[in-house]
Amino acid sequence: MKKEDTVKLISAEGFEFVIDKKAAMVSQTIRNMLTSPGSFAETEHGEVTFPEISTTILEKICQYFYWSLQYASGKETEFHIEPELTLELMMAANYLHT
Amino acid sequence: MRRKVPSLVDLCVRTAIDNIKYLGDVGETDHHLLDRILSHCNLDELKHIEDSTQGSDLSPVTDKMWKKFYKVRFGADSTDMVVERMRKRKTTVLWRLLYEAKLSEMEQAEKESVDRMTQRYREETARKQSRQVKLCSKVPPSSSRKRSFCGGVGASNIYNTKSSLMKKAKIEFVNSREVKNIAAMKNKMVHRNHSVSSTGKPLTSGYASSSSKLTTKPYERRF
Repeated sequence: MKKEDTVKLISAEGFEFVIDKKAAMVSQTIRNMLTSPGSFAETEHGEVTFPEISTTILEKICQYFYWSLQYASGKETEFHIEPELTLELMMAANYLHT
Repeated sequence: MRRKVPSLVDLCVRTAIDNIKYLGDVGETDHHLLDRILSHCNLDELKHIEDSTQGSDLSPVTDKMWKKFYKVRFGADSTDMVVERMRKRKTTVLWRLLYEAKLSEMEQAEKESVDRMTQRYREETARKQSRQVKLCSKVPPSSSRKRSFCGGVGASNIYNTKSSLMKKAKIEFVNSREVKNIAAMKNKMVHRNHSVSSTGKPLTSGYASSSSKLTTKPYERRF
C-alpha cells in the first residue's frame, strides 16, 4: 500500500491500525477530518488518535470499514458482532458517524 | 443498483435487541440509542437494566415505557385516573413507582382475600368433622352389670373378663368344690357370729390334706 493511500488510526492504548483511506472514509467523522481544509491537527500526518476508543473496539471498527466496502460492491455477507462488545461498539460507531 | 450499506450503529442496535436479556449496566449509552433498544424490553428486562445501571438516571428514557406497562397491567381507566390525579396535585411521580405501589397494593388485597377463604374453609371442615361419628379406641367399663349380681364369690369376676379362655377358667374355678365350700363357710360365719362350738376339735388337719391351697382357719365345720 502506498503511504498516501493509507491512514493510521491510534487507539486509547496506543495501538496503531494502518488502513486504506477509502476504508477510513466510511466514517463520516474521519472523512471530515481528512478532507476539510484547515482540519484537525491530529490528521496532519495522516494519523488520528482516539483516546476514548479501546483497541478491541477500534479493531472491530476497521473490520467494519472493509466489510462495508465489500457490501457496497455487491458482496453481501453478515457482519457478526460479539454481544459483549455491542454497547461500547455502538457508542464508538455513533461518535464516528458510521 | 447498490443496496444501502447498514450502518455500524444500526447493526449494533439490532445486536443489542437480539441480546436484550443479557443487558445489564448500560452506563453512559446515548439516550436516543437506548430509546431504540429499550422499547423492545419486557418488564423484567427493563427493571433489570435500570437496577443494574447505577451510574446514570435512565428515567427520561424509561418513564414512558413504565407508563405503558402500567396501562397494560392495570387498565386504561386506572391510568387515566392517575394522570388526572397528578395533574390536579401538580406533581409528577415516576410511572415505575406508581406501578410498583399499585402492584403491592393489589397483592396485599389478594393475600387477605385468600386468607379469608382459607379460614372459612377450615372452619367449615372443622364443623363437619365435629358432627361425624367417631370411633373410640377404648371400651368403657359397664358398671351396671356388676351391680345386678349380689351373690356368689367371683361372679363379677366372670363377667368382667374380656378373654373367653379366662372366662371358662373362671367359671370352673367358681364352680369348684373349694370355692363353694369357702362361700358356704363365709355364710355360716355371718349366721353364727356369737356362738362358740363345744367340740373344739381341730378338724383342719384332716381337711388340710385334701386341699392344701386353702388357708386353714380354726372354725367349726359341719359334715
